[in-house]
Amino acid sequence: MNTELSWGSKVMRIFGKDKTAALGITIIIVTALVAIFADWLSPYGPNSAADTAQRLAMPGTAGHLFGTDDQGRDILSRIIYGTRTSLFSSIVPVVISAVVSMCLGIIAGFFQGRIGNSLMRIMDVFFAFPSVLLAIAIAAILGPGLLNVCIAMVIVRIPYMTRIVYTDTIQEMQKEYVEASRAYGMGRAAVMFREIMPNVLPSLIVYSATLCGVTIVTVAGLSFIGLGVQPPTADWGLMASEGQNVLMQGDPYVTLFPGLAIIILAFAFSTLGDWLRDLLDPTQK
Amino acid sequence: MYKYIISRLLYVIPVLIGVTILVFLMIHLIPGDPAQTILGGEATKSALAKLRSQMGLDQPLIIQYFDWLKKIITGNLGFSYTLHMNIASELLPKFWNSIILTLASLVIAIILGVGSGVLSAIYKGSIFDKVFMAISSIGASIPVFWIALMLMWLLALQYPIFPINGMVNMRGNGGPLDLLYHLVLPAFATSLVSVAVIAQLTRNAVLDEIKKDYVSFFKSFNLSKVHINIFHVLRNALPPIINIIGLQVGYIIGGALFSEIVFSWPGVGQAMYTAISSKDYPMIQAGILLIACGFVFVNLIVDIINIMINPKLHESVSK
Repeated sequence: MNTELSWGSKVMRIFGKDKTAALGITIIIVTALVAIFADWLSPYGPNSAADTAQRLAMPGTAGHLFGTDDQGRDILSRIIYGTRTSLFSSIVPVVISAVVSMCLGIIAGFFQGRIGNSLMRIMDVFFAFPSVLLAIAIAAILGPGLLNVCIAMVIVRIPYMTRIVYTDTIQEMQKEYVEASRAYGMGRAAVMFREIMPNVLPSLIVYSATLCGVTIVTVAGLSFIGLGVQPPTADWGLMASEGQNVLMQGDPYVTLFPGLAIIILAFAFSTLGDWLRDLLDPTQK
Repeated sequence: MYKYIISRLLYVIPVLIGVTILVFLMIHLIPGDPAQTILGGEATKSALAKLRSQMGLDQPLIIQYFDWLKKIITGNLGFSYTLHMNIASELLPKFWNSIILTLASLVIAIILGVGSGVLSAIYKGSIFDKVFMAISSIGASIPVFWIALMLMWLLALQYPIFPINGMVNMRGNGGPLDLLYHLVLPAFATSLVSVAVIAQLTRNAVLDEIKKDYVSFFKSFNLSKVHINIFHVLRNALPPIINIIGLQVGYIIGGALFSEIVFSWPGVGQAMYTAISSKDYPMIQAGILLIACGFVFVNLIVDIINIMINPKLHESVSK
């Protein structure tokens, strides 16, 4: 049986049917390409303010499509370079927390009993905090910076992802194949990670894609408070925040464009999540 | 049902203990010496030693925890070394202001979210449904601080309809109307993301209900569509909708932090923002503790409401 073909045609069928998903995936690919080729694509450097007379140029000014900020830096160029921190700070923490949660969730679900229960009770404590608040707390303790924001996001996401893996693992444990592979003489680790893991992976992947979008928005919020990426790095959240003072004087553009970039990329990740759910996990629809 | 409610009430105790342990440990996760961080690099050795013994940092961790717990239970939230004042007297009035903003945002989110979700479901496929669902699928990805800034620019600066910031007019005599007037922008900014999410999920919940057999059964009796929708479909879709709203409470509490900062709303979020920039860790710790306890309490209420209107759930839970 040729499963490769059926897999490919499945992708194409859903992709062709779902125009929103096609849009979202295109946005993500384009953003990734922009991040890679920023040095070639960007009209100016992220921090080059050669012309101080060009401070706060309006959008559409010759040479500055989105205008310039209060230091004369080209907003479009900074948005182009900002794709790097945005993609990094949204994807990396989610991937790390997915890996950790996969292990924790499967172990908790496989052993249940004392190990599983105490692990999940510890996770419950984290659910007592709104996730943004927890992220702010951790980032405030660790101090500002991209790395610390990523650590905060990893810690915040683990409880949610672990709970999903845990619930799925418990469901899988009741199925016959688990008992069969135990009877066949497979070790515990092999049953957990060779038999159960492939079956709980799809819903974790779907959730991860959605979380990437949520994480972009949260990280932007941390940047706004001053806990994220530090100036003069080009970062969308930080740019939107830096535009605040100018906005009070009646010029919204410095804040407007980076915010739109955040929304577009976050929206793209959420459509990617919806699309993957239809593809991998049709029962959850 | 009462059995469930009591066990749910009892469950709050271990959660609150966990919350206090986590918040307590926060201050010990600060890299380096907390006393040094609080007092700054130029602090003298004797001042450091004094603060360490004041904060109990020279005691074993468990004793420190119970001392701290004893204090917060009696309403002593600690001392702010930056503001030189008791945190409780500074933060508790602000906590009340945060509650006002959060509740207002929640009310807006419920009315607009549920209302538009139900209308979208009933008029599925109409222009309203398509446009609104397109907007809300994007709306769920908007950062609260950004929409707050944009609303401020549009409706307080460009078209000065609403006040830029604050909670009451300093020159006026205050009053509930003045408060409402100041509340509009921050509350809308806080609630918009939740409006989008609640609307989408409500629409799905109502559509699931409309599909069911009893609806076509009632239709065959010539019951009016409005009657069926209001008395049966909505009534049955209520439990999932309440659940959806409950899940949004955390986002609204988190979003309110940002609205408070943008609109200078004198709440816990704004106090924490100031505390973060001045590294006032005891204040940050107290703020987080207050909000987390509030969140635990709200979750408790949502769960109890859920169980009261959804008898099926408590059967499965008591099993």
